[in-house]
Amino acid sequence: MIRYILRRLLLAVLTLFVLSVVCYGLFYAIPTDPAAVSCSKQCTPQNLAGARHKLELDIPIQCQYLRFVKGLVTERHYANMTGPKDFIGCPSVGAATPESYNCAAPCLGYSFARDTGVNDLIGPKLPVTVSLTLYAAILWILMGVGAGIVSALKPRSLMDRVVMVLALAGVSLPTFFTGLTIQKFVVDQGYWPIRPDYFSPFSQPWFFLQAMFLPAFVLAIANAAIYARLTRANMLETLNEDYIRTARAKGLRERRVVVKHALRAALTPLVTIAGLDIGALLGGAIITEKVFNIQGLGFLIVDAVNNLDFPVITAVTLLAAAFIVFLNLIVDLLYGVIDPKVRLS
Amino acid sequence: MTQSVGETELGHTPEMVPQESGAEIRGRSLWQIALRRLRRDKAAMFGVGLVLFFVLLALLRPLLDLIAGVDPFTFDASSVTSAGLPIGPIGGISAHHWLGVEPSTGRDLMARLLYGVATSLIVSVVSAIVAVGVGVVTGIAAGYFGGWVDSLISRIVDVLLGFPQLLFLIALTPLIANRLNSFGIDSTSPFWRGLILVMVISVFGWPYFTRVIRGQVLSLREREFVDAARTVGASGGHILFRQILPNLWAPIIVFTSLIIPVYITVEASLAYLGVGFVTPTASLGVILQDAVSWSTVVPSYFFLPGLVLFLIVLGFNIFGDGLRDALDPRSSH
Repeated sequence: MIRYILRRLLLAVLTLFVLSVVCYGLFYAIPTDPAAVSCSKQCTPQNLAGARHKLELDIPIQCQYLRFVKGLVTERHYANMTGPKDFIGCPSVGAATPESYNCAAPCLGYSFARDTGVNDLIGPKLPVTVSLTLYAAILWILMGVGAGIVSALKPRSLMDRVVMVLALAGVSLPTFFTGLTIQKFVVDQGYWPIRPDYFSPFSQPWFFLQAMFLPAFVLAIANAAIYARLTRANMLETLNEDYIRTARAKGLRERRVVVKHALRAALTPLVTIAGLDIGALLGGAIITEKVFNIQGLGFLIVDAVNNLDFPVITAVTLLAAAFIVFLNLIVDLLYGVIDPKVRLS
Repeated sequence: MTQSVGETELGHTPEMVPQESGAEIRGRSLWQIALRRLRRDKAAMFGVGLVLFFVLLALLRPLLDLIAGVDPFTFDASSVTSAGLPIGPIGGISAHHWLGVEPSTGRDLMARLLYGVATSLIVSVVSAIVAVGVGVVTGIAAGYFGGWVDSLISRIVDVLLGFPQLLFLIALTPLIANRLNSFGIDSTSPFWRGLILVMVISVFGWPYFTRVIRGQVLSLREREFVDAARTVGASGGHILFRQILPNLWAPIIVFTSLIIPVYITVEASLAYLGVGFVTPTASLGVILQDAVSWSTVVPSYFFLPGLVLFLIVLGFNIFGDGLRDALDPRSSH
C-alpha cells in the first residue's frame, strides 16, 4: 500500500517535471521577446535591457528553469543576477535592491504582461474556478445519476426513452453553444435575477447559488448526460446479477434491493470518472468562464495565451496538471475502499 | 468475400484448413451479424443517414455552389442594408441566397456552412485517424512485446494523460502558429491552420487509444487461438497481423466513430476561443464565433450553424452507439 502510494507520487512528480520542462522548452521556441511585452510603448534598447535584467531573462534558459524550480520551495527575489557563476555556469543572485520583487514560496513566477507576481494573479481566481467546478459537479451528479436510475428501473418505458433522448442531445450539444445561447437570450435579456458573477459561497451563499447557477448548469449538462447513460447501463447490468435475484428471493423490499444492493455496485465505476472530470475542470473551466465572463483560472489562461504571458501559462498549466494527478491518486485510493474486489499493490 | 460460411468449409480439403482461414470465417460471420443488427437498429440508421447527408453535402459542395451561383468568400453589399442587416426574411433568404447571408459582409451563408462542414469534417476525421492509428500501433507494441517497450510506452501515456488537455491545446496552437510565421509561412491559411490543429489534437488524443488497445491485446494474447497458432509454429508477424489484429477492428472502428464528434466539438471550441481557424476560412466554429455578436439581432445566423454542428455531432454519436451495440457479442438487441 505504502509502496503503491510512493510509486504514484513518483509518477505525479515525473508528470509535473516533464510538463514544466515542456513549458520552458516551448517558451524558448517563441520568437517574441517577452521583455518587449512588459516594457510597453516607449521601449528604448536601454529600457528593454533593463526589463530583461529585471525579469531575469538575460540568463541562460536552463538557469531560468532552475531558478523557477528553486522558487517553488524557497523564497525568490527577482534581482540582479550578477553574482559569481556556479558549477553549471548559472550566475547567482546579487544583493537585493529596493525595486527587486520578492516572491514567497511557492513562487510561481512574475507576469511580464501584467507586471505582477503570478501568485497574486492566481490567488483570487482559484476559489472562483474551484467553487464553479464543485457546484457543477453536484448538479451533474444529481441530474445524471437520478435520471439514470429512473431510466434503468423501467427500461424501454416512455420515461426511459425521453431521458435517453435528452441525454443523447446533451452529449451532442457543445458547451460554448449552449452557454452562448443562455448568455445572449436569458442573461442579456434580463430574465435571470443576477448576472453570472462570483460571490463567496461562505459569506454570501444565496448570491453565490443564484449568480453561479447558469454557468454551473451549462458546465454540468454534458457530464450529466454522460453520467445518465453510464448509470443506466451499469444499473441494468447489476440488476441482472445473481445476488440481486437472491436479495429479491429472500424477500427484501424492492426499494432496499435497488438502493442497498444494486446502486452501490452500479455507482462504483462512476467514482473514478467523477474524480477525473472534477480534476480536469479545476485547472480552469475555460469555455464556460469565457462565455459567462467569470474571472476564474480559465479566463486568466485565455488572456495569458493572447498576451503570450508565459509565466502565467506555465503556472496555470502546472497547477491544472497537479489537480489532475492529485485527484487521480485520490480516486484510486478511494476505489480500494469502496470496491472490495480491488486490492492495491 | 461474398462466400457464405458453409461453402467455404466445403471448399477446403482437410489439409487445407490452416488456423487463419478458421479465424477468417468466424470474423466474417461476426461482421455479417453486426451489419444485420445495425440495419435493424432504427436509431443507428438515423445516425448513419445524418452522417451520410453531411458527408455528401461536403463532397458536393463545389457543385451546389455552382448551381446556386454563390461562393463562401465573395462580399455582396447589395444583400445587406447600410447598417449591415440582411435584406429579406429570416436572415436574408432570397432566390440568390437560399439560407440567407452573413450580416455586414453579405457573404452567402449556405456556401459558408457547406465549406464549414467540409473543413470541420476533414480536420476531425484526419485527427481521429492519426490519433487512433498511433494509439493502435503503440497499444499493440506495448501489449504484445511487453517488457521495456511496455514500460516506456505506458509511462509516456501516463504522463500525457496527466496533462491538462484543453488548456494545452489553447496554449500550444498560437505558439506553433507564431513559429511558422517566423519561417515566412502564413499560418492563418486553411491548410497550415488545419495541419496545426490535427497535430495538437492527435498528440493529446492517442494515449487514450493506446491504453484501451493495450488492454485488449493483453487479454487476446492469452487466448486459446493465439496459443494454437504459436504451437504450430506461426511467426510473430502472423500472430500479430492475422490472429490479433482482426479481433481489434471492432473496438478500433467504434472508437474512431465516437471520437470524431468529440474532435468536431474541439475544433469549434478552439475557433470560439480564437486559436482555431480564422475568418475568411470557414469552419463551423469560425461561423459560430462570427455569429456571436449578431445572435440577438439576426438569430437565424446564430442558430443555423449551431443546429448544423449539433446535428453532425448527434449523427456521429448515434451511429457510434449503434455500431458499438451491433459489434458487442454480449449485447442483446
